[in-house]
Amino acid sequence: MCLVWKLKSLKSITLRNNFSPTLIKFKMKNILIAALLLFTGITVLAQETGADKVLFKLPGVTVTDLKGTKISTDKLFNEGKPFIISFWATWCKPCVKELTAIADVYEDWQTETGVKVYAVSIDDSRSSAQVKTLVNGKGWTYDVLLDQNADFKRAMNVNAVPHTFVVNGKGEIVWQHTSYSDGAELDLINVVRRLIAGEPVAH
Amino acid sequence: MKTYFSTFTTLLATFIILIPALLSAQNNPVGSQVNGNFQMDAQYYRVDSAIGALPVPEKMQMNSWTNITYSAGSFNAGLRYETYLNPVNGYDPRYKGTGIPYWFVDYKTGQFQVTAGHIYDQFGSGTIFRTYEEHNLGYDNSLNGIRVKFSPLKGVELKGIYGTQRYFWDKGPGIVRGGDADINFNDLITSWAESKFRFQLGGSFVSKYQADEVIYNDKQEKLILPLNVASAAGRFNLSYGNFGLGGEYAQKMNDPNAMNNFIYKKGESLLLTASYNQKGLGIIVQAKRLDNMGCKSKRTETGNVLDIAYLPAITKQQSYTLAAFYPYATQPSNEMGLEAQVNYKFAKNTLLGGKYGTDIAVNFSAINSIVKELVNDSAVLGASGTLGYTSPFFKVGDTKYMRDFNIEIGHKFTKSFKLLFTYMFEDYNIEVIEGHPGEPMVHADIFVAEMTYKLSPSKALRLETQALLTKQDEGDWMMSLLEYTVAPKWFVSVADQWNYGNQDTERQFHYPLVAVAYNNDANRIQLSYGKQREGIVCVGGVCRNVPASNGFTLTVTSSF
Amino acid sequence: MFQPQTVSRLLLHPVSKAHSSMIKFDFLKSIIIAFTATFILAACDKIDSPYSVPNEPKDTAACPVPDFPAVTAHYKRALVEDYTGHNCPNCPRAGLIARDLKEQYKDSLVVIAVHAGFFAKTSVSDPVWAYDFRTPAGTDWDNFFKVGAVGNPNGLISRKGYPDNQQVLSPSAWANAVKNTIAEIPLMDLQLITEYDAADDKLCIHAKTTFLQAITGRTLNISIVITEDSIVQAQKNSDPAVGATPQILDFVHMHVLRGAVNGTWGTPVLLKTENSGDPVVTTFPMHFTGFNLNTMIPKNCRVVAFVYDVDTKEILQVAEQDVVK
Repeated sequence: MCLVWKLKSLKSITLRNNFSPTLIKFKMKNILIAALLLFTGITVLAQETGADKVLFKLPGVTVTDLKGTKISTDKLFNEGKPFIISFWATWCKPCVKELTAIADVYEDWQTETGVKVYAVSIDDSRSSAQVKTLVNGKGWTYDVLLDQNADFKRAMNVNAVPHTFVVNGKGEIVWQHTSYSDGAELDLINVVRRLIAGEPVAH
Repeated sequence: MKTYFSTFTTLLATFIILIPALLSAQNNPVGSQVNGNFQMDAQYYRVDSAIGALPVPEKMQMNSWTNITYSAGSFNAGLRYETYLNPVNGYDPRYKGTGIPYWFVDYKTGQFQVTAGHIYDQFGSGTIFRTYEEHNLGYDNSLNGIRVKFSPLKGVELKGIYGTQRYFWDKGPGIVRGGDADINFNDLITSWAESKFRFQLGGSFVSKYQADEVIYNDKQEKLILPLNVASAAGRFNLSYGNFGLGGEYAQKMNDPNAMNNFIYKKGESLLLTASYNQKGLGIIVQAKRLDNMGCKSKRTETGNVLDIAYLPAITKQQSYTLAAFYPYATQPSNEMGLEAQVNYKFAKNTLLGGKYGTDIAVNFSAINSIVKELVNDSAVLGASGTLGYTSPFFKVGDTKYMRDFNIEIGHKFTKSFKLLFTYMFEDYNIEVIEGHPGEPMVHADIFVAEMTYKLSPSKALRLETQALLTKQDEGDWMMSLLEYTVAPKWFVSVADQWNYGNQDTERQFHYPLVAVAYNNDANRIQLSYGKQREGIVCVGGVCRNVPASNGFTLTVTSSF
Repeated sequence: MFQPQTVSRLLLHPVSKAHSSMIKFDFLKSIIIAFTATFILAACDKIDSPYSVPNEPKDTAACPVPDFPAVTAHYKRALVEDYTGHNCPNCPRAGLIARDLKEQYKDSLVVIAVHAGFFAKTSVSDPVWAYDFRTPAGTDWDNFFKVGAVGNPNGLISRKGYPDNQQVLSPSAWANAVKNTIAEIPLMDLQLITEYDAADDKLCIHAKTTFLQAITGRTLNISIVITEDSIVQAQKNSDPAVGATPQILDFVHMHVLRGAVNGTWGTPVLLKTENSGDPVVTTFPMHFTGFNLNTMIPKNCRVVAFVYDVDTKEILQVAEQDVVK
């Protein structure tokens, strides 16, 4: 949602710096699409359909923390407790709003559930240096990760920011949400509470 | 194109044959999974000659893409199917078409990682190599080839890449190859692991090759073109406690291309960053020098494609509409810039903090040209087929490109009312940046007030009022936006942009916009109707007009 | 939405009990269908009879066909279409590049300056920019080949590259494209004879296409257009080497496209169903009055004819002839 607004307001920046595949026969395209669907179907059929309604497991992509250490995203953990991954950017106002709203209640959340927030910034080298400045300036205590070339964003199939995930104690993503509106953080903590209580994470 | 598809079909056929075998052979212990996302933007246009919205022959334009990723333990693969029929206004029309322009297979084991297919990666901050995609902006310069990552010791990572770049539905004529080394001393030296002193070092090398072609200088003499062009960069980053210092220096050898008017001068760039951070306060200062570092894998290309180098602007990325009205575009052939930012939080229960605290952010950027001096082999600065110019490294040029100062104050008054106030002052060299020769520098004062009022824990009303005051260009603008949200599903907004200060009273247009969006977890559908003003973009001597539009836009996105 | 469980149920039990995610999927699907339907219904053009544009009959009575001289040397000519506009400050440089190429290749190169798109717009308020260089044919070509949409200055060299969407070439790429095009073996000769009668304000254009190789299975059209030199009007300029900046008030515009004689896309000389054989002579009469919304000066004008493949749009041969010798 944020990126869509960004497109509208930043059209001039965007379009800076500006083969009709008639060789693809219609039949060929059909075969490819059918093959894709078939292969998707086979794979998903083979998956476990547990009661936990796992969306997918965390992919293993390299990101850096604010100290410059490289971290593999499949190693993100919270001592067996659920944690939240929130994709944001310094230029994304709703993202900063969401993280500010969570920051107001973060201490309470941590006392109650032990949840942890990984704030993954997709700022590229234009603004990634300002991430640390903004995080400190706002007094956030999150674990901030830098995904400068959007590798983690792509692997998690994030289209636009903000996009937030809740990961259970086993490193499996069980809930995701895109866009932010005031009050949506309540949904987030409710998901975490249900996970801790062992209840199914209904949508 | 034909080779593309036969490789891909072979790969796909391999998946289809192997996967059921793999899955049935094991009890799915690693957990293979398929996931992906989907986005569609469709616009329906109406003619509006007043604002300059031209008739669109196909009436409706649509961009859409689907990503599918498959992962099973150390093995990952994915592809993206895109269709632009026809590409939405503002996108390069050469994207028209449909197909699979992106696919990859990746295998990771211990110290090695190999990726084949289309690669997105960057070396350091991307000055000499960055491939990335930004589909909402119509940008994709992926490298079609091979990438190998090797980590011989903990904290040391070596990367090598080789391939050709995406050129709409085809590949660019140039071959790009390069390598990068990154050393994190705190990981490498075990005694430094918990040290307050952190140090990283990196170096990279990139070379591009393009076959010879006939290009003339101004005197109709055929240029002797370098077929291989190399760039190298070195970077460091150190921090001690709350202080940080970093820098990157890059050089490119002679690279005559359409963006620099075919001069043979080498390119140079330097970026320095200094910062201080503690809880509640962040300070950063960046200085940049850019001289002829633009690099594409096709010499004569002037569009927004085939970039090998990533040269971002050293200004704050604005998100409010009027604050982003005059966006700075990096001048790849010459720039001396400075940016400083301070973020500070007035703590709760202090005088300026109030009950909930106050956030304040101040940002300043200044960008000038570099000094260009004549070289003795030419009487004209920057003449094609010559060295072009020389430039003393530390001197700042006289031409002002951009000055921008903004201050943002956020304060929560009560549990349900929050205000975000922004003031911005901008000096914008419209002549150079938008290719309007003879027009004076635009001085603009911009005020934005964003108020959010929570009606209930899940219902909120947000009002944004913005004003842009200037005596140049089109005069004053005003914008208001009212948004009503019911968390987490519904968004309704109404907005209007009004050029009330235009000296030509016939052109004091309104650009209204109405939008409704429904959001269900990772699925979102948004329908909006409105007018959008036109814009001009100039890149490397070619200017393109993004026409105004009047119509409906439907956006559907989903992650699964 | 596409949760694994949902997809599996769709595959195994197409009609299954409503799963909460499936409800959302159906809802979403119905919204999409509703909006798509709205768009489709709204995006249609209703055409009334007559349903086709009749071909102009060849008026050989008014323009008797003369004898064409024999062709001694067969060579391929290239066409440079420079898409430009008087508001485009970077375009005069491209015009210079085209002029230099023409000086180098002389008779083997034909240049047309097509004023179209955003930068060719006229100003209502400022008389300096009120001159309208645009033509219906030029605007149609610009919209079709998307040259201006990519940006200005840009151009087409014999309209090559269209099937792969690679027809738009930046000015620095013209030299190489022209060199490669001229080196090709020509498939046909194209000769032009012009007969101008000032008293009648009538110009008879005769074009003779002589096939040098057998051509089958291709539809070839011939397009005949008029260009005019020495139109003195203002032009924005950013390059001091070319002239005054920011604008040159008395810029001499050359090779300006003034209009198409036989329609934007020309008329056929060979149909897909035919085999090439005898030379084809096409004759078109033309009157200067009313041809362009500006007054034309015939002695500054030239006739340009080109034969192209209707499917690939590639121009196979081009010829140029002055109106007044």
